[in-house]
Amino acid sequence: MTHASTQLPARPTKARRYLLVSRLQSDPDRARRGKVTFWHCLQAEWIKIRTMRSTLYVILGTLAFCIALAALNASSAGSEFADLSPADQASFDPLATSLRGYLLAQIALGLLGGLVITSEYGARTIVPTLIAVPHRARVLVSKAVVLVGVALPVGIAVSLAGFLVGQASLSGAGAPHLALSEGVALRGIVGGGLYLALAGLFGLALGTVIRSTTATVTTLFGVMLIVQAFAPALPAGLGDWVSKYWPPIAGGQIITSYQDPTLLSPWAGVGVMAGCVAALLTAAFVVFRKRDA
Amino acid sequence: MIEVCGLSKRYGEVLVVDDLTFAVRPGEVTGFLGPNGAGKSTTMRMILGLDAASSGTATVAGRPYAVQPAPLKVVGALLDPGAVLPSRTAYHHLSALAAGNGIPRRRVEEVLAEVGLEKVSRRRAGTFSLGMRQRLGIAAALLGDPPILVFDEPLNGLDPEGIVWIRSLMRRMAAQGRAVLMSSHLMSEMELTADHLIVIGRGKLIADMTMKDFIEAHSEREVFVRTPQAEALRSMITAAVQVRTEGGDALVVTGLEAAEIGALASLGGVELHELAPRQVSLEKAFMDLTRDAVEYQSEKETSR
Repeated sequence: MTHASTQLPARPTKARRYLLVSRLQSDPDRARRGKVTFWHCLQAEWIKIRTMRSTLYVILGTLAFCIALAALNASSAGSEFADLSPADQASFDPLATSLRGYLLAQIALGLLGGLVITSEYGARTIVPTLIAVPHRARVLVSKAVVLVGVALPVGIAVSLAGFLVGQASLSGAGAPHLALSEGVALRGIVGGGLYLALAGLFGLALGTVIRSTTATVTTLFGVMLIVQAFAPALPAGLGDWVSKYWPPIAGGQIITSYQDPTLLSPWAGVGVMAGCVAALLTAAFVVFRKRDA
Repeated sequence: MIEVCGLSKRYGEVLVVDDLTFAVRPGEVTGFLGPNGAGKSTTMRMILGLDAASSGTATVAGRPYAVQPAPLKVVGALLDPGAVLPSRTAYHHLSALAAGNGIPRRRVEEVLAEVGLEKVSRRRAGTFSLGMRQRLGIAAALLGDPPILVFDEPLNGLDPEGIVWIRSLMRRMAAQGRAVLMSSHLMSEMELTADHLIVIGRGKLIADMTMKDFIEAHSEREVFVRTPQAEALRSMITAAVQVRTEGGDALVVTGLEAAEIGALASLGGVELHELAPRQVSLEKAFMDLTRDAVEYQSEKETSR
């Protein structure tokens, strides 16, 4: 068969084509006028995290779990308080009793942080994302910012909810409890929220490096719960070191009102966690910029 | 305009893209052809800054993709039609891409209408057929009204109506003065759509020429002859010319012009019922060419 150009709509003549081409090309301001900034990328990532189903599930699930655990934990601790030995009564921690939900909340928000990027690898939307914004540092920073924008308020909200429910329950049982106006309460709630936001960033860094949602969740469980559970079984020296400095354990001190002298203070603990997250994010950053998408 | 210069990509020992140099000019549809694994997708990914080149450069509108001030307003690309979060709606998928380039929401509605997805724009993309996802990917490419378009296998998964739609879209884009680069395995479609061809095999450039030149240069013209005296005519044609029989009374002659065969027949008193030159299609030209390339490659490898 012959070349079928005759079947097609008439192509523009050379002169007309030249005019059209020059119209598109002779406008050097075309691209500059719409110079894309960090702000645009931030808006894009905000739309994405907002329209990701898991975001809502993580928020609702975390809230429900933190409230339920605070209620259960506080009611059982409250009813047992009277029977505790004087030593145990002295180290009774009403704040931690109501905020213990952070143990699972950190996994949930870590998962949300991971999903912010692993969902893109899973659905391969990382390709259109990087075609729209080839500036990779900008993409990752935007993801981190919108993640904190979600995880910090959510973290503070679930801590506050857990605190209120837990303290009400303790007070009902006649056990020691805290008022919201007390400094230590505020530190536990805001600091707890901050810790959960750091857990989210931890998940984002892991997800960026690992790229798989499943592997990210598994790693989060291992790092945040398994190590903590097995720390007592480790050889004495190592076990003590892990209990004191392992970032999620150290960071978890933020929700305690009783200071265990062998462990870091609350803010020092959060500092260790923040340092660990910063180091991981830096690594994620380097990997994300260098690796082929 | 896309300019690729000495572009190579190496994965460990394997050279996937080997020193490619070509340009995709405005006002034309440039077809990008090559067998599976020839390096077409990798080349497109390097042009778009998704994969780093091992050596060489690729620029769009005069600068590397990674430093474009407003990427979607310069290049629209469709690489992977499946790339949508299943739980996100088509509208939100495009809105996020548009927001990243400061493109107004109004434009999202426009491109959705242009690709015929306006009625399903609020449906989750996971419920879309492959053809609908393909259209969504094209909508994303059109968002920034870019002067350069890059499409990797845009016809995959489309029904005949969709294929015709893509063909007219590509032609329209080129007619508006845009540079269009499009890869496809459907040679017959490429023949209808492309003005210019870039053919690669095993990462190397095999051909870079207009469609017309390509077919002429890489295929031999045949002449179809129908005659009741096929044997007589056959005996008159020299051994240097290739003749094959097609049925009892038909011959296909390669290497002689129709006029020469007509003259021969007239001289020998052979009666002709049909005498028709046939142009070999792009598909055949492509297969001949890439088969040669593959053979050449294997030869080189064994002699190493």
